[in-house]
Amino acid sequence: MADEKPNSDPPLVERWLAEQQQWQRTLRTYLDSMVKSDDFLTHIGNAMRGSLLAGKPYPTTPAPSAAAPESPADDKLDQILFALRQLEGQVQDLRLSVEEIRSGKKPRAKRPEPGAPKDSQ
Amino acid sequence: MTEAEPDAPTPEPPADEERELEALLGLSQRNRRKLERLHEILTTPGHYGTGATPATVVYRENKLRLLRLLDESGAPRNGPPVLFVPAPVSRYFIMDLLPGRSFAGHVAAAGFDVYLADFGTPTREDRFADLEYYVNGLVRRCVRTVATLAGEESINIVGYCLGGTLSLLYTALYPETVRRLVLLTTTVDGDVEGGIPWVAHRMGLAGEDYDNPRLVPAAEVKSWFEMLAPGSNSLAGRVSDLWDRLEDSPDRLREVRTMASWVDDVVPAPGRLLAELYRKFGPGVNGLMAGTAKVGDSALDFSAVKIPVLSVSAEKDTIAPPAGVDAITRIVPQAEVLRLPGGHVGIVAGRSAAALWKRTVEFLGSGNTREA
Repeated sequence: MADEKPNSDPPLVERWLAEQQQWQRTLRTYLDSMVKSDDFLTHIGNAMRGSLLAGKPYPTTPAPSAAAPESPADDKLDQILFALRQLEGQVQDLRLSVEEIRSGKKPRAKRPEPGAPKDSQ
Repeated sequence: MTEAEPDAPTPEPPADEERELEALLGLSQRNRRKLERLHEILTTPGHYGTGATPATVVYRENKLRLLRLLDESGAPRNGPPVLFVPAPVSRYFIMDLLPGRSFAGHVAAAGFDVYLADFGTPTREDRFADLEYYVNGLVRRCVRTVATLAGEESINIVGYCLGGTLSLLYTALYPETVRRLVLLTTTVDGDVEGGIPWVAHRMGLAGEDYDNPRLVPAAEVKSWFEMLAPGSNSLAGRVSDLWDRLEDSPDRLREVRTMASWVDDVVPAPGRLLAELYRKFGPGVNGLMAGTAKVGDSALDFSAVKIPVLSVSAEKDTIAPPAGVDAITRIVPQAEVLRLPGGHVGIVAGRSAAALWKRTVEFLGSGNTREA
């Protein structure tokens, strides 16, 4: 989309016509990109929010269910999932201790156990 | 327009209308070129959303990945181990932004064996994650992994922003495992007005429920940061800023886009973690300075932190005001305080970040005897 600027200026009316054609080309390029690429739609959406964020949409408030559970059952499920995450960490601690023993290092003493889920969970 | 020859008859000046049309034509061309540049930037590849330095994942847990940076041949380095701990409410790659603009890459190039924690993006069940989970869990296991891989008893830690808070708390609990600690724009005095804790307080963090936490949406976390960035806290302001920037060179705009892809890519935050930080270290409580802070059931003893500590603040930091950062010497008296010109992000990954990188390598280098 390079500018086509002549060395000696043609009459104003001709330059306006050329400019109009350039605008048509520019807009057609945008339309082509919008049709061909979902990524471009995301990026132009971000730009319309004043952001050059690449690869994902600009953060907006998500549906309420993404932030907090919709039902008590969902809440319980989340608590169980997080408790499993904590257990995953404890298993990793055990694995690291075994590796330390294997390598001849003294296993690290651990301060209070992070593990158990809290009462409120 | 070409200048008239001295002997040539002076051309008639354009009529007012013609002059206006000329000016409008110039304006039209200028705006069209900006749109063309925007299209070019949005459609050409760049470096966005990942670290810049080759790395391998050496540990995974929940959403966390621990990356170990590799040298040009794809092998890990042998130097003293350094763990970078970024803030868990933003993306890790600010520490490794671009080839040639990477803090972690610079430290690695100096011969250190560099590890970088990527806390990932929390999902709904992670809203229950608290300080204990981060400090006594994720950070501690990262340190253990690094120490095991490096065959060392203690390692160096570089913590940024909230990642610095986690690193400081970890060091107070496990001082024997840390050789040297670098804290970047890490607030310790919660009573110093301004910065993210105060904005979050005004925007409702005080009402965050510890017992029934929610996953605080990224847009909400982002709104706190936007409140601190004059000129960009409104849609019109941001669009206007971007429009003005479109006259920059494409190379400069690609750099801006890389940085924007970090600034605007805030992740959701565990509500319990934010509620706990606010209740323990926030305005009015100020548990770090008051000596009342705990992680889980463990009281924090900063007098146990005898290692060399470097704390870096930024003169123009609106997120972590420098006075609240420099207060580290009141709880860790031997800490060296360095205040650099620039802002919260600029000193780490901006064009003038080299001053921080150089000082960090010097600080980590002295006292770390293992050669690369």
